[in-house]
Amino acid sequence: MTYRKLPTKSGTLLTSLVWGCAGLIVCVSVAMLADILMSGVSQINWAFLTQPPSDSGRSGGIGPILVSTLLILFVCLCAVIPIGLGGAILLAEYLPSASALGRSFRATLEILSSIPSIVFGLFGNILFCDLLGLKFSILSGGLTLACMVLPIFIRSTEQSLQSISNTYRHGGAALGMNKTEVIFQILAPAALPGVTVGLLIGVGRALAETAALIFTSGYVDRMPSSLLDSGRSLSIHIYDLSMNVTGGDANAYATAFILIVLIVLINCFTVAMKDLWMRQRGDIECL
Amino acid sequence: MSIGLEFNRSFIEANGASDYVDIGLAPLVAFEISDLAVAYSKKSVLSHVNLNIPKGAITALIGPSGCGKTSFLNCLNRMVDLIPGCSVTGRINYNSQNILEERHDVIELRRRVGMVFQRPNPFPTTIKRNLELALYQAGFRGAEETHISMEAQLRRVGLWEEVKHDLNKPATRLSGGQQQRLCIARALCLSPDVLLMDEPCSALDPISSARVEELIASLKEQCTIVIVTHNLAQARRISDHCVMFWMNGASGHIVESGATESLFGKPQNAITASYISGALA
Repeated sequence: MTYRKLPTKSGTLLTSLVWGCAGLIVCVSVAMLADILMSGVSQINWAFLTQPPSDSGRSGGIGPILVSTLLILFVCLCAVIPIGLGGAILLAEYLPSASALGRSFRATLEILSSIPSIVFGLFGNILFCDLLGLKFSILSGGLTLACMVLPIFIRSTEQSLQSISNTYRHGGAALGMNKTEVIFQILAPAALPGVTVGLLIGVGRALAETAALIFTSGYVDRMPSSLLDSGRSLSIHIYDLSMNVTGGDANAYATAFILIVLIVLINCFTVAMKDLWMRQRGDIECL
Repeated sequence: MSIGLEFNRSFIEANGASDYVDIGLAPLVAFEISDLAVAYSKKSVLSHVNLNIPKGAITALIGPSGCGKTSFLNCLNRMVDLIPGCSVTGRINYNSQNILEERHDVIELRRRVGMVFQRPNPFPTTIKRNLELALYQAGFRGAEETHISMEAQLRRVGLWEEVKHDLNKPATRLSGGQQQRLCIARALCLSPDVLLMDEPCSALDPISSARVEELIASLKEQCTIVIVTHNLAQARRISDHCVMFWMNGASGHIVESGATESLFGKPQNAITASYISGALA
């Protein structure tokens, strides 16, 4: 078979352009990570992870902030997983994209997932803090984050459900399974790897979120005593230390370092789970 | 009912007939189909289908692609319900009930009338779980009894010796032929009265295909089999009855049906004659 090669000159130019772009992106990320690592790692010790902050965060640790962040994430996931799975199943299995309702649902989610987080923050403030009377609390913050993460999670879960071959649906039906059984016994396990990836993207967005939380979970940096207590997340702590507290840079770096480690850990855990599931269904070779 | 059955048996024995097709003896007929028509979004794919499918025998559906054989097969367990825009009219009597009626219990029908697909479709999970899901549908609950039947079904399809140490292996890691035998085992878990097979060997290599074919022939003792096949030699080897489908203008229909030997030996219809001699395809 013969094919026409690109003229050598423009070929080289294109290749170098592609490599140049890739290199630039890698360099910027590596520089950022290296900066955080070098400035932050020296502060990290057990005391920093467990002690409460003192002197507006200039000294002390991030113990309560770590706890608040995990609690906010927990509340967020508790709301996102059931509602998200339900929504995705509804869209993928019951509302075909051809139907008017299905189309409008999908368009709405598309719009919601591109709304700036500060808008979600204000919405959460009005709905959860004021109207529902939850005040500035971890609950309000987690639920607001859930509103933000849900559109992304529903769409990605829906897509992983839709990518499952119809032959499985037919195979299940031919065994006399009803639609619910097909969904929960065959499709849901098959979609799990895709669902975890969607969840991971959502969690990443939730952990990085600052704007939506300032208006909902609040600023207080003491150890929360319940979900109705206000709590400060890691991202807000970084924002506060670097913008509002002079001399807080060192601890801001250290907190950023911890946040990155947290995200990497969650990533590794999720990818490991995904591999496990994919191995079970035979998508990757058993090791 | 039993008197009728006796009468039919003695009638057949007396007449030495092995061909019950179209002679309307209800108790020995699995499906009585009258004036069946199938259309996809108003485009007719199958019309004027009148056929009796005999019980306890293998019926092969032959004919060129696109003449409605698969659509016909999908009507027999109402899998057509899953195809958007598909409409079916006419009657299919199964156990003296018209299964095409809206209120007919489709779930129960599909448990009695199993199906094996063209491409092996084991669920994306372990071999064990594939059978467990089917056995659960068949009402098995205890781990012990589930395992015993699992072994029995795998032995029936000749897969037990090959997979007994790998039950927790992903089913998709099996070879195509093994996957198809697993799918047959899965369908057999519900002890169906009828097994519908849509070109079950077409995606397999000749050796796997021969094994599956052997298996199908051995299943005749336990259930009625309706098989779509493009392999005329296979149809001739394994089937007792043959139904020839053909395109008539825009829509498929049946041109001839009867005992396999007479259909292949003395085809009554010119199209059948040319098709089986290879002049048409």
